[in-house]
Amino acid sequence: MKAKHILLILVAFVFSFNTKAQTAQQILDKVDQLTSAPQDAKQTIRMTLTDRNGHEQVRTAIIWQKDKNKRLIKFTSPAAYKGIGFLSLPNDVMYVYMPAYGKERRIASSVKNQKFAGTDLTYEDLQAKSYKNKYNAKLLSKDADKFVLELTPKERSQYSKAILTVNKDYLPVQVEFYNRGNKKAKVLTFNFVKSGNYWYAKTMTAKDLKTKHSTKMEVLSTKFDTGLSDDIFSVRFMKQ
Amino acid sequence: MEEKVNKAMLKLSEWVVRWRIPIITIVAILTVILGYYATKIKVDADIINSLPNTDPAAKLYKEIGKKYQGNTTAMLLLKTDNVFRTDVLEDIRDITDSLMTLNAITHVTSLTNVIDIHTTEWGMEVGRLVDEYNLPQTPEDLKKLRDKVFSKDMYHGVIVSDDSTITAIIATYSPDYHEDSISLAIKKIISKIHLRHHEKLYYAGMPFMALDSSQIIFNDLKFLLPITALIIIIILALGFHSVRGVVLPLLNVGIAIVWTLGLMVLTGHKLTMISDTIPGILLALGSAYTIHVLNRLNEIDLGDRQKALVRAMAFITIPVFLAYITTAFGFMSFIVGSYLTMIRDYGIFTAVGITFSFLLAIIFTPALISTVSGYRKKTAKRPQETKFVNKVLIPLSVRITKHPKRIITVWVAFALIMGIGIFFIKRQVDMAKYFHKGSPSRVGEELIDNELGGASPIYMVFDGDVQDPAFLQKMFDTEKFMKEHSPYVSHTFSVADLIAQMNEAMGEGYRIPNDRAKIEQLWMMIEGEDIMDQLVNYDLNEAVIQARFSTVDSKAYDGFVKLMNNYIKQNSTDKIKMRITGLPQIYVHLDRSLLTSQFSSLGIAIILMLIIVSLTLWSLQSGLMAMVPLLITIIISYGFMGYVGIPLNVATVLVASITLGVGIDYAVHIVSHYRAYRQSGLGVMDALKETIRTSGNAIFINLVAVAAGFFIFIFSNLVPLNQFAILMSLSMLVAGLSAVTLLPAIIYLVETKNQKNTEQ
Repeated sequence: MKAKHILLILVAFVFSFNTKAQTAQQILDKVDQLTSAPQDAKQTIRMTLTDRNGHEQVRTAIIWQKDKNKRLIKFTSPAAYKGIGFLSLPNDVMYVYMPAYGKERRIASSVKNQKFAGTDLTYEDLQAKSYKNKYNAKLLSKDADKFVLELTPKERSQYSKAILTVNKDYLPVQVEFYNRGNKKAKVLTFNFVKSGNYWYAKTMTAKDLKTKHSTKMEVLSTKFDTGLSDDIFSVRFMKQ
Repeated sequence: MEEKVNKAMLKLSEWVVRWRIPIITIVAILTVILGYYATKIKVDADIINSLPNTDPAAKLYKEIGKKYQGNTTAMLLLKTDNVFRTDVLEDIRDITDSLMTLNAITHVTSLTNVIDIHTTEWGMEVGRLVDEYNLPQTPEDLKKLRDKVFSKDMYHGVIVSDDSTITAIIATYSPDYHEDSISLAIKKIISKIHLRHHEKLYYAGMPFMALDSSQIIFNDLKFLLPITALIIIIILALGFHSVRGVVLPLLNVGIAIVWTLGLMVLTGHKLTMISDTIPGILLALGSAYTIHVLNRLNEIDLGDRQKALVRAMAFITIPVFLAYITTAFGFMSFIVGSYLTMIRDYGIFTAVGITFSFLLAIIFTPALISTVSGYRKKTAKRPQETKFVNKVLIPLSVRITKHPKRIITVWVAFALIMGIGIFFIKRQVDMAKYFHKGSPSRVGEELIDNELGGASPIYMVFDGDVQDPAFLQKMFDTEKFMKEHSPYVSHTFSVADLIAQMNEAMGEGYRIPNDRAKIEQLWMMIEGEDIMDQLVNYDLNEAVIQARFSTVDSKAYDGFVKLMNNYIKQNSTDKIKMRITGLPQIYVHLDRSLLTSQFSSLGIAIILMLIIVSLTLWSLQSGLMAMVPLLITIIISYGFMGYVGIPLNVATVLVASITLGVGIDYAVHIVSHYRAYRQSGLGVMDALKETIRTSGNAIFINLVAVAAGFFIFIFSNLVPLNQFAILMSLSMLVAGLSAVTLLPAIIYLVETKNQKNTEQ
């Protein structure tokens, strides 16, 4: 009996040591499960770019996404950008199509800290990788309605760390990215809504704290699991 | 020789003695208040700020700086055996990262983060020259990078020197922060980085030069001022053999310095590279007024010392006022005569400081003496006949009266020979030359000029429809024109280059597409890039060509400005308007302003002096005579500049007017003493001999003190101040020498001629 007691206490002790780390990892797993549940998605989005002086630019596009690593973006407005397409395929293969030239070109997307098409999102931000694959997590605090996690990148990144706030439904509310000098550099805020079985970010705002430039992405319509064909993720479809 | 006591002056000095306590109290309170502000004095060493805000070139330059997020760029240079090594690239990356973390830095451009639009066999790459996440490691990869760098004008000779030994990391400052504090923050953050390959690091560019000169200016003040004070103390101690004789002049000048600096802070002025000489100059010039007062007090033998004081003051106030007003006018000639704020402010505050010294000498000194009863009990014997008088001045006076013509001929011939040198005077406005050879700032600057396309920025602004093919084509052609027609422009950069590069990547050649839709779509690829803020405005109706100029030669600047102004005239249309600014434009303006400042301040000073001296002596002829030795002095000093290669710059431009203002006192001394001796019944020859004997000594002591005060700046770390020191000392010497030789000779000739005329 005595020995059993001691063992129990020991086990409890070891667990209490590990709960924090485990919980952080578990939270992240749940976040990943919830945010990348669908097989494919087709969304129409509106991007609103606001600069430090309050000037706004609006762009709309259609995004097709499948298998986490295939994505096609086709711009629908403004007129000058209409028809421009970006196609990302696995292994960092990326094509751009410009209707004015009538031809596609392959472009390198290896440079992850480069901004995408005037937004405040870099290719690294847009990478479809899950949080779990990108970061190690540590639980900083938790209360009745939120968890706060500190994420440190597994690979070399433009960020030194990120502070992720997750609500009680395990949906991200906000991410604060810190630059390599450990200064807060960028803040992403999310507003998740449920459509059918899936949660998705209805709006996402990215604010660059240094340039005071921000990007708001709103999903205007969305369809999940329509069984998008692989043909969509081809240069031929992009040029249509 | 005894001056008549002026009644008004007598009243004034009685008033001063009566109100001595309030006077001392007010001076003390003012000193405490202004002293508090004086400690907050800041330095502004930025040469661009010396042009007035209304100057078109400076205005456009500042405007572009604001609009395009800071045109203040600093450069960090890494010098090593070979830049293309992984450890060196790691260092560059670390430095780039560290700089990027500073909020006050808006952009950093370096080998590891520079934008690269590359055509490959399968398409294009819009990205970075180097993938900072995956730096080249193998010799092949490093060679590939090297080849890439040397294949594009954008990189080699710009961020990497042609021999691959130097690389530049360029940081753009935000206009929202104080420049010096950004430079200091950079130095601090970089000092923490361990350089893996032990590269040599240089800080270059205008911000670091300004920081360096700020620090030098402060250090100069800290080290040179005490030395000047010490020298003045020695001279005073030798002259007076009393504590009072040392303390009072020094106290007055100290107060005057505190007041002047305090007033500068209160009126929002900063110390510049020339105004940091003000305290030293006040020490040298301002102490003379108190010395005059004390001298006179010592001379009066009256039992009642308070009465003696009042009498002494009544005697001395007007002569001291005359000495003061000529000097003050010399400095004031800069106020009206100069376009450059730096020089104008210098004139204002030196004149103010001199005025303070004068007022303190005639009001505070007697108040203080009568309060603390600091009258000297025993009058010291004045050294009437010194060795200098016996051995030099008396034989000199004999010679002058014997051979006046010969003396005049010698001076005129000397002035003529020296005068030829004036044609060899060069002008110099660029800041790099302000530093001594081998100083880090200058070495950094030379490295950039010789190896990396120069550090002097040029901005050409195009107004119109930026996405219009014709507009971009014009920018493209203008860049080509600049590079082809000026040997000093090796690098230009604009949005047109980026468009041409992307057009090439799209397979249609390195040129501007003539289809607007193509331009608009290419735009998407570069939109939001940091660099775009520096190239175009938000409304896309203004775009900038950035270029750098690789020499700091005034002539080259001038040629370039003319070339571009002409180009703009011929190529501007209603649809595409062009403007240009940059350091060459600023420097050309500075250069011209320097010349006009020189001529107008000198002209004004000459006229003012002539008026004052003629009024004082109540004779235009005497006024003109008194001016001659000074004009000769100025010719000789300027000729000297030409012969020894001292250029006209912000400091040496001051020499002529100061020489006039200070040196005129010597001439006035001679003429007025001569006339007094004549009135007391002496003949021309005897009056001259007496004049030289008595005034010569006083002039000699004064000029040694003043010249010594100026000469201290030879120890400054700024080259223009060294040159200023040499020229001022020389000018004072020549002014003194010509006053006791040339002027008496002229007087002798004129007077004997007058006599002959009247006899006839």
